Amino acid sequence: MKKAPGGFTLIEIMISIALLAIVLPVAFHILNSFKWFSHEKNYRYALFQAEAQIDSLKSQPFESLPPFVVKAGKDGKVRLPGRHIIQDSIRLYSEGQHLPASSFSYGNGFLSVTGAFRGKIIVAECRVRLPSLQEAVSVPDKPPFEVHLLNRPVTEIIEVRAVKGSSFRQLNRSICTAVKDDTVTVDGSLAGQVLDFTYYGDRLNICMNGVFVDDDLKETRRASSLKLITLEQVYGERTNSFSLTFLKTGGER
Amino acid sequence: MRMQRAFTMIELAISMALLFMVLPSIFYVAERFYRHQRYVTEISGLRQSARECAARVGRDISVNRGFSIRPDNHGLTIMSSSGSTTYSLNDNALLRKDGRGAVKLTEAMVRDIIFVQYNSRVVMTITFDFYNINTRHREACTFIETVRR
Repeated sequence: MKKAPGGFTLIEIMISIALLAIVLPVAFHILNSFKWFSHEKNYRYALFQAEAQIDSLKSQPFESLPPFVVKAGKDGKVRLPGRHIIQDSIRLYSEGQHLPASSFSYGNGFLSVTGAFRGKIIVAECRVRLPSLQEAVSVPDKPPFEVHLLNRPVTEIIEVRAVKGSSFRQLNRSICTAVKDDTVTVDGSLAGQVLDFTYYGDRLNICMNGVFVDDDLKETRRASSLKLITLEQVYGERTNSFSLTFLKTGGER
Repeated sequence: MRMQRAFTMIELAISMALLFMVLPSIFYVAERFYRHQRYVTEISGLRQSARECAARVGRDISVNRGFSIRPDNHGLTIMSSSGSTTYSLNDNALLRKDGRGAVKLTEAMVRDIIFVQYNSRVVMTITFDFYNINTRHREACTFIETVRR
């Protein structure tokens, strides 16, 4: 007797799909709960850093915040005061006129402008990457003398300070003998002390940019005594961000 | 006429084999889900504790006359008209001591507490000691909270 060719019946396929529909949401839910958890952790850290950054930026001199006003030397070179300036973000203005990208270059902290703009006052708008601040950690009493930082992986340590009560003492960065992911190994002589780190990490990227504004808070390309500073934070998988804006006034106001 | 037949031995054996292959992964996923849920609940609880502690210290600072951070930064003393209130760590417990006695601020095990003043801000870094059900080890979990803005 010839066997009837058999495939899945419609009912069988429908039942399999129904079962899959029951199981798949559970898997997605698990995945999402992991994402939500790390997202929330990053968000809280970003909020803390936003407060710390604004606190720090408010106490910094007006000139050290972007946009920078510099005078190009006779050789066309001038140092921009900001550290970690994002090269592609630089826009220059001289006497309110925009300088085309071909008329300047930037490298190693120095801006170099071409002939016509040499010796002139230049307004440099740019984005500056900011480090994570105000993170205090205790060095263990016994080896290994390892401390863990929150913005991981740690990419560069800018400053380490020993904290004693309300006083801070700057330490040489060489006290950090090894850096791996979020773990910084410090010199054994610091056992039991509280250290404050300023550093760059990859989990949270903080950038600031600024523009000059006039008395009516309208953006201007000329130097004024008001700067509108915007702080941008990008965290997680480069998909979450928020920005904060505040006004910084110059000394004479 | 449609033929009526039951499952053959081979069919049953194959389905059971498949079931035994799939079951462990289902149990694995379920267990991970359960463990993760417990981990999230635990961490959320610790975070809540950290915020409550920071709020308590912040409230004390704002209503009283002044405060001083201990020279080792692991404690804080708040001066009030009726005496002083001290926050310090004692045997993995974060204690608030005043004239009326000592109160544990959180039931969680506190490994370390650091108070640092940056300009006008007072920042509290609290590290809890907890059993991580995912890694099955005791681990540290650190939260940074702003006590005073």
